[in-house]
Amino acid sequence: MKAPRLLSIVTLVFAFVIAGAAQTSTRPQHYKKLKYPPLREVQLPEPVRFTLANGMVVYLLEDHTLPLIEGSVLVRTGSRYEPAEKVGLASITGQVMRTGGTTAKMGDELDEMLEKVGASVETYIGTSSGGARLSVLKEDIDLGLSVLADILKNPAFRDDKIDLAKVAARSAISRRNDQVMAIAAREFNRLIYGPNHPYARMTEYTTIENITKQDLIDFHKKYYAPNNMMLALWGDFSTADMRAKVELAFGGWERKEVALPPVPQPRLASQKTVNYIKKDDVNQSNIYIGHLGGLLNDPEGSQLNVADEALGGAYASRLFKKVRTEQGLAYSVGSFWGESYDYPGVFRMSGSTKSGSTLKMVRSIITEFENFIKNGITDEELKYAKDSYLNSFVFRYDTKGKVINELMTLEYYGYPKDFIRKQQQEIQHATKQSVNEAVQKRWKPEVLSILVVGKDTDFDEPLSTLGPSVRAVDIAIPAPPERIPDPTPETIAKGKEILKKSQTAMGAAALLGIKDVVLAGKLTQSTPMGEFAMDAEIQMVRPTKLAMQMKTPMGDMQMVFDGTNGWVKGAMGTRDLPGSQTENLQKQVIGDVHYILQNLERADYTAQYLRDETIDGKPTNIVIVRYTPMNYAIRLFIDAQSGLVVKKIARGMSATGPADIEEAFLDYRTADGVQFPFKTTASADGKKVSEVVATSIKVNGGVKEEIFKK
Amino acid sequence: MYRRILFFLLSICLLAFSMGWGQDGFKAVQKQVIEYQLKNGLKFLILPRHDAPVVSFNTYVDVGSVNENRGITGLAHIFEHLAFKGTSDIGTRDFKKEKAALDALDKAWAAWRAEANKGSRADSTKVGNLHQAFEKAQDAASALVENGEFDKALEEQGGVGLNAGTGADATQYYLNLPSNKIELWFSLESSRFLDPVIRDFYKEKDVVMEERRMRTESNPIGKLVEEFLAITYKSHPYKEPVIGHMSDLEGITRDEALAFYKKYYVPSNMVIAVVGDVEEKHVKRLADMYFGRIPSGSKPPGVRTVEPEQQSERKVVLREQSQPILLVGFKKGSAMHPDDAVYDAISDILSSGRTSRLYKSLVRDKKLAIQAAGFSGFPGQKYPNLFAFFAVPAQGKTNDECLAAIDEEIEKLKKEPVGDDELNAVKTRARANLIRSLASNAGMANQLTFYEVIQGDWRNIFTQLDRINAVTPADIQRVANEIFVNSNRTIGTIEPAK
Repeated sequence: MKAPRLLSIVTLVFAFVIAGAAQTSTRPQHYKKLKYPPLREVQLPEPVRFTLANGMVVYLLEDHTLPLIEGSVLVRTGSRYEPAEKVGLASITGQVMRTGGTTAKMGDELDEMLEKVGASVETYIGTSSGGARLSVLKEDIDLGLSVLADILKNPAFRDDKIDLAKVAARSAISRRNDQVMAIAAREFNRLIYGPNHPYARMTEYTTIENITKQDLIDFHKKYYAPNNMMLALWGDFSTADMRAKVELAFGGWERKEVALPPVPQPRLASQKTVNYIKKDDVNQSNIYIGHLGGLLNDPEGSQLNVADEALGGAYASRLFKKVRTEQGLAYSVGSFWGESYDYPGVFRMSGSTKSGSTLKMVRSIITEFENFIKNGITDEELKYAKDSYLNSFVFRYDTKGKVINELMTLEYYGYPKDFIRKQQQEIQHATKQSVNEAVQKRWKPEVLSILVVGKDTDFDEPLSTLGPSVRAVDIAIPAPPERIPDPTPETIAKGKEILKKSQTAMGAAALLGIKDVVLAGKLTQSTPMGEFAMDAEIQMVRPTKLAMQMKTPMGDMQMVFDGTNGWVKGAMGTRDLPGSQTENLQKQVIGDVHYILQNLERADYTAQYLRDETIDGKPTNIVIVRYTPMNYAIRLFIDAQSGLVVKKIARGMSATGPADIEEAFLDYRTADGVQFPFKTTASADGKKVSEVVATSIKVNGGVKEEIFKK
Repeated sequence: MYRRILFFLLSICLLAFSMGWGQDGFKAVQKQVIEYQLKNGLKFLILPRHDAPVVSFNTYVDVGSVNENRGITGLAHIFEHLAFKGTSDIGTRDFKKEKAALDALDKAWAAWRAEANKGSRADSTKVGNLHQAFEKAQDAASALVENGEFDKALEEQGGVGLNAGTGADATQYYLNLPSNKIELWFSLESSRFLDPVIRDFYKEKDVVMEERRMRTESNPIGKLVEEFLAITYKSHPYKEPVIGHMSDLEGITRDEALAFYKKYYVPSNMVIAVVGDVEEKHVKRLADMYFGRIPSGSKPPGVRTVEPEQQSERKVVLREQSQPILLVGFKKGSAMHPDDAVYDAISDILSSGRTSRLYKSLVRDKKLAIQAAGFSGFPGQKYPNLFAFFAVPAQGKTNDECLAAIDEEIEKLKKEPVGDDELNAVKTRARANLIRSLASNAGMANQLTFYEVIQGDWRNIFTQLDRINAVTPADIQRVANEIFVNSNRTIGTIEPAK
């Protein structure tokens, strides 16, 4: 074992201390006249670091002051790697890893074992890391360590605890607009990163619903390997003993390759925006102003920390002094130059004031910010900001836990071991010029995002006085998906009966005899730029082929699915469709209403009656049809009298991501003995996306087979 | 401002015959605490620990919102804010001129308010002019202030965690400093309580009004707590909000603030803890030198009013743009009550961790709530207070469902004796928690002053061990039957507005 190397922090920390005067005063002194002795020299312990044969990095540090042992684990994972349609997966995995128990022990048993002795072992997954924390009396370390190893290696993800985590997640969604301060903080983050960016996106009822037990198992399997994590333990133990215990607990775990998916880089906004969220039950506005921040190791990082301390970071900062003390506008006001280790943080200036002084406060903050950029930091502010940073430096290392966790965190993010000390030196050498240059380069008044949450009818001035357009941010919580009851023999039989009736109504023998269908007509697409109408022809060949031909402004285009592969052909040539879009085409084929009705007897289609609903004054029966090989569920709304299918809802991909795709079938007419809707409108999550109006529909008239050859 | 809603689980101690680091370890810590009372009555509790070159200070003033009376609610907290404004030679550019400006400002304010307070009979032109005169006087006084000097003096020397909190029972001032700078704290802390200058008074009241809007008026849970306490108590000042009523915040005068300070900020009413890298002799010398300057004064009287026994159940329902929240309180004894340790044991059984009864019932098994707990000591500890329950219903669940499930657990406590395993776990956890609490300088400083003032002896941090150890299943059953009675119950809920 390597002896711990002791490192003196005294020279680093207290270069600024006025040395010499070790004696203290003999009578009361005004604080300005005080002289301080140098800080006594302290030995900063260096933890022992070693790597197990399986690649797990371990840090150990003895601390015999109390009979306790503490630990922390870092795992290279994070919610930023979870799929967009399953937001919440990482967090739920991190919780249920512990609550759901291991293959050997139920979670409730672990609770009993640990809490009986006042111990705790907990796991989590955050944005850019996952991990665990352990705290035990020293006599319980074997228990603590074995539980820790077991839950990291062999979590069982039992269903009851997944359900429990989902209840908590759904409840959190339902409560997310209850506290105005929480709304402001969250929505500002979404403004800065973009609402769907991995650093800002939110859980929704649908994303929680999408998460399955298998997802948890897969997420864990993908990232939890000894070579992808680090363990730190500190407390009342001998390093040699503890090393043996760690080997025993984790040594047998096999390494495996872990690949981290890429995360898109957030971008600085290109213009200033004014954003408003209406909250009419409050008498105080929450105000956030700022833009994208930076990385901890940006070249300007240290200088910006100094600048931020002077702008709004400290009690004696400009924002606190001007906005709070001098103007009495706010209780809470300040700034924060946001930094993270490996992705840009959020730079914000924020506070709250009574509704009637909202605009005054916004202007006051912006004025201080602009003046700071224009006139720069003062000598006095520079000295104060540097002194408070350097003199409080000792608090970064005043416990063993802080020392060891900082080292592990720096290694986790690939930072050099002496990063903090380099930063300290940079701050020590900061000058007015270096700070002002950094401010000029990185603080951008022209791209500020301004967010106000409050009751606009009580504001001192309209928000529109701040900028040409005020964007209203909608924070309404999307409704939860309907909870579908488990099928019963009765609902299965009733579902089948309704579909049979529809089969007869939609064409009976003629419907059953469909081999191909060709529809010609007009397709209208709704886009953010407006509506585009084009001539289109849709051909379907049973069982599984589908082709769409469109005359677009850019020339003819074909989108084809031949039963296995999907592609587009156009002026630019032929391009294979990515898997997700091919799957989408396949779902169109499988979910085609006539096709479903033709295949009611097939074993891979199941039906379940859900309930009745009135649409346009007419009663309809809702039946859920599932195509089991793809676990694809389609909701059909069938007119209770006529038996015609008037609506269909299924999960699918829209231009902006996964959505509930709803198709309304209108203007039914007979074509070759079969009932067809001559008008179909489609919407995604309630927004209209397209419309097809048929001019002709032909059944079994033959198709141009060459279109299905690439 | 903070509220001591936090559990004082730390106060429950441990088994006398616990293994390993038990009695001896605690005794060793206890022996290191030095009690030092100045001639003027101010008591210092010093715990030297040389692990790191840092020190934590905690100044505990035995004054809280309970010491206010009608018309001056919120004043204990306002004074806490004012204590950061400095002295006659800190925070001023020219005190002689400033003093005159402050007097003129008070007069201008009084003239303006006198006219404005006439309400519908006020002369609006006169009010306008008087208000203008007030603003002018305020600008004149502000020009003489060295804004932020007190904070800056501490921050630039490396002070961290500079803050203060006011609750129903107490006002506390906190700071952590590098240990070579302790004289800075002695100089500033003694000065601000020896020679405070109340400046920026009217603006600071505006700041506090913003704090009230933030914590109470624009916050459904803040509103609930205020309404709940207002009906829970009919005469004891625990009924009043710590932050104060808006009209009182507007009306409180500088003279009232000064009188409040003179009455309550006397050495006999303060206890200070110093924990960290300090030498006993040095601290004693500095304490005498700096705090010995503060003239002694008689210990102010406590609250006279005793809340009468509750006659029937009370309930308040708030309709808010919020999901439901449930708050339930039962009146019980103070932290000095012989059953204090029993209250804490009940709190642990009901609320500590995933094996606690409320978690298992409401959260885990019935999935009625995402959080549920019962705790002792709300809204304060010094006077008879509440054993309070709260529940945060899960999506689609109601306060009524949660209340019924809490009632079930209460009935169980009343009817069935707690098992030995469960009670032993409480005692083991108490030991572990006490050991953990020793790790932090600031945490220890906080415990020392709290126990010294509220329970009359800081040693109770450790000696309450015997009390918890003596708790039996029969005690728990007895106390549950005594306090968990519906006529002694108050319910407060938030129901979603339609």
